[in-house]
Amino acid sequence: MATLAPERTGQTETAEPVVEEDVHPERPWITIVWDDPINLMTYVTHVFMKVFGHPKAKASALMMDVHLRGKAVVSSGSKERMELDVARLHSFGLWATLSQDS
Amino acid sequence: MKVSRRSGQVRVRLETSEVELLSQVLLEFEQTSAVLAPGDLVYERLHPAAYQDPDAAAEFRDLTGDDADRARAARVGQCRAELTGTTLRLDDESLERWLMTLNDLRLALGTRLGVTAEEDPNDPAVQGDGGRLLYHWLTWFQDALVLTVLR
Repeated sequence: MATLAPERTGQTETAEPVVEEDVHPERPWITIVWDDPINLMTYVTHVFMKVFGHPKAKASALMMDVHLRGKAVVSSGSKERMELDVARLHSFGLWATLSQDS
Repeated sequence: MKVSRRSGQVRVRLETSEVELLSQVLLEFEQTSAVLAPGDLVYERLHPAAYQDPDAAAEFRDLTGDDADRARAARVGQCRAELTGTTLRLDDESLERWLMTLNDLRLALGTRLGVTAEEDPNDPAVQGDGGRLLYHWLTWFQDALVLTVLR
């Protein structure tokens, strides 16, 4: 169940992203990382340092946010930029999605 | 297995049996990941949905999936090629590649085993389960490697 959480658990609250983009072009896009039972806390911290250039303390706090709250916003900006972040996080095996901030 | 760091280089000393096990796991992963198809749980975990909207997620996967697969296969192949004896000497680049590859192995194995929460490796149920023992060994290995760069 946890394996497919991002695409399944959020289903009911998902609006049409394309429509949202047209209606609220000023809203930034965000990248969310979801907690999962396989990725190690140490590894996730390392990935945040690597991908976002965060110092260890900040990367570690962000990782704890993901771990304790189940998800955390890790970056925001243009849709294109967030797609790059998500692809990069996926390459490290993290569970990331992008959406338009509400 | 023993992991140590000295003057910018990480050294991993493995038992012969560990080299054999790791070679086998890497080979198996290389072979199975080449034939995984959408819908398979491991495929889905290695290609997470980028959007909650299924159509947008499918489009993103169409655009990025092949590149991601090629990069992953290249990393696994390089790790296999490096595993020629009981000592691995890793610079920053190869260490990063091993971290990502061990993570891919754990994602694939953990998903197949249905790992849904952190579990105690000393649990008797784990001790009697070869797949879970392997999973925890890979976990221990990855954690030891990542700790050498986190400090």
